[in-house]
Amino acid sequence: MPKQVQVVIEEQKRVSHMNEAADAAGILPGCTLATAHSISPELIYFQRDANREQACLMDLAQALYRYSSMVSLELPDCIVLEIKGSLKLWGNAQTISQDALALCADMGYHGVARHAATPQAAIALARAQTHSLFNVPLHVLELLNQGFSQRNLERLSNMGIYTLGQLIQLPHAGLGKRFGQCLTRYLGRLQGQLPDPRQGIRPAEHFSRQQHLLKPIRNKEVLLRGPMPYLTKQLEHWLIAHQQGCIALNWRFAPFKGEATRLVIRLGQGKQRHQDILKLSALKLENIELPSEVLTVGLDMTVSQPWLGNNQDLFGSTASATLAISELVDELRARLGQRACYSIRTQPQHSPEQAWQGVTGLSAKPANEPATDPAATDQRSAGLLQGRRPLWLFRQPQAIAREQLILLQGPERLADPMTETGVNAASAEHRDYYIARHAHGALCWVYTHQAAAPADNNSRWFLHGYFG
Amino acid sequence: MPTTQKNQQRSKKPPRQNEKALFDLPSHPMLWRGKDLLSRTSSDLFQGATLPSGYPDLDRHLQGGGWPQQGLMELLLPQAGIGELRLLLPVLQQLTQGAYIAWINPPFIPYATALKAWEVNTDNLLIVRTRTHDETLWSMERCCLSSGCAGVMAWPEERQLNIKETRRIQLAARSGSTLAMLFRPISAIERSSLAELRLALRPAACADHLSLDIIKRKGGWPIQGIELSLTQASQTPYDMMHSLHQQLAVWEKAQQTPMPGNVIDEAAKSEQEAKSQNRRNTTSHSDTAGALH
Repeated sequence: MPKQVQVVIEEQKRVSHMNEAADAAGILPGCTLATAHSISPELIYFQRDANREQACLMDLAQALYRYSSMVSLELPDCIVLEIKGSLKLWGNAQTISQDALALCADMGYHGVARHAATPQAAIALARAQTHSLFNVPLHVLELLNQGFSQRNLERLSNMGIYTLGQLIQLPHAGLGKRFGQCLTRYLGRLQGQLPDPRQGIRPAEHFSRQQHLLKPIRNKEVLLRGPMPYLTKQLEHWLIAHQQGCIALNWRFAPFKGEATRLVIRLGQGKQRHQDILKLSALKLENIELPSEVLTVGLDMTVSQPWLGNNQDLFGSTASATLAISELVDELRARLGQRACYSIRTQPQHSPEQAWQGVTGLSAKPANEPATDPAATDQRSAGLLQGRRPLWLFRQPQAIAREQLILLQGPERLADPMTETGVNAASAEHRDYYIARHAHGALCWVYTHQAAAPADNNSRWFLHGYFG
Repeated sequence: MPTTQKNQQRSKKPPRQNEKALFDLPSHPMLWRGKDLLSRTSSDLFQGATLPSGYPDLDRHLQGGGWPQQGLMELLLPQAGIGELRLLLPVLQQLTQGAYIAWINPPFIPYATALKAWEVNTDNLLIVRTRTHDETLWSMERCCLSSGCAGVMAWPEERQLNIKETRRIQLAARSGSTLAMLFRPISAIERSSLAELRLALRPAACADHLSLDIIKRKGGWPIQGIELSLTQASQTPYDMMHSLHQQLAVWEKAQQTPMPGNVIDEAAKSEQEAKSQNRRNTTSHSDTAGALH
């Protein structure tokens, strides 16, 4: 088993926090750095950085936003969640705290969760890591942060009052007189006698995180095991809290000095799960050159869209297909333009050109329209229509050489829409339609004008569609 | 002599062992055969679901007895209109009943009246027009992934389409349980593609027939020269006087050299007569026409 590196955090040259290995070696909190070094020469120490602690607390609070809409920070070490409103969804407070602790562990933090009727009570319980408010020692309450002076704390201990239980039992009026209104206000908030409005955090509008590494990473594999899953998990928490799906994101891999390498990932569909995002990132990462030593990994999300859960269809009904298709049409139109996507409808028109219509997007379910083509108007002949019209229609008829055609069926006489709409409708020209085979093998729908005989080589022939 | 007999005996014995070994070989656990893959996929109901093509002659050659219900299929055509839509009519009829079919950049207008007459649900057709190749691919992928689309038919820009993109479409079609159909020119036969099924369509001698080569299919070798009668599905013969036309063409050719102008007129006239007769036949006995053919 590899020996764990002993790490301590020092504050004003004294050890304030340490890891398990350092604890096992016998280093005590509060001892000087020199003592710690003499116990274990290979120890690594870092200076305590309140700002970074606060940033970490904020990150965690952002992730915990999924449990409650009212998340507030209690510096330096607590996050308060108002869970009354979430109880119905989650069942009970126990479930929420278990789930939240699992999330903290997932992000690499160890936490203690306690719940109580008031925020101050929950904070007190969590800080003391106890379940009974009466057992909470006064020194862990961080009363100094509440404007309570060190001197007053000492006075309380001189009186033999060490726990919150003893303090609560004392008459409040007398306490106020001796120790100031700060303490009575605190006790009032603790017991719910005074209001305790808290300032909730706002979920960050943009996701942009970076992780500084203790040691430079030279290997892509290591990146994919350590910092990248961590950041994608954070992104997942952010996406869930915002009910968004990620579309595009940016990775940054920065060396100690010099330009960071960027990697842009685009996802076709909004994704939330960190596994999906990581998988795609891993694929893309294979193809790029990274700096030889990566010291900072950053992740920014650039484009997202509202999250649409994939609903499973129980009965395979067409309703969900229609819903899916309308989403698809929206998406296609958003990218390709309003007119790029249409459906086709039959029109009650006589001429083939006018017998169809493109409807932009999806129109409501059309009523049973009257039949369209002359042949279909007659119920008897409706069956005949099958096969008498081409599957492919040309927008504009094209001139075609008669020699290339072998006429197979016809003629069928239809009015020419060009002349029909003209002033002298009486002299409207007619088209004689034939089904013909072209020399190259296509089955064509061709016409010539009424006047010309089919064998007349001088008449002009037009191709109007293919039978496909 | 005895020595040769001995030799023969000696030489006989080892082959028998070899034969036995060969006989056992297929059941050897270390041996992997392509067939295994096939049987596994066909047992997997979801993967192996197929759509009957409407042509028993074609179904026989397709894995699972029909078009794949999901995946990528390519149709290579020398020319639009030779019967590709008539070939797919049964599929269109089936797929449009409950879901949509997207047509991406069709070369012409799919004529709603005709499609409706052939019992294709035209309410469930969606036409998409794109400007660039990227947009085509993107919309194909989106349509394939959408649960509302059961089929996607696309006419992509042949010069820009590469093998990677076919793979991407195929994956999208599989994950969206969609049948994607790519229509490509026949020249694409030389280019490799990751489609599950590739067919080359060629016009047959008769307009009601279609000659079909399977260039690539699952679980089998390529097959050439399948001739399908399109009337099986469409029930509409067009070229009932095919033999007559052929004779006419031969005769025309023979006559063409001495006196071209007159003869062609004559030929066209007789052709016309044949046609009008033909038309009368179809109108009066439209039900029996298919059977006659």
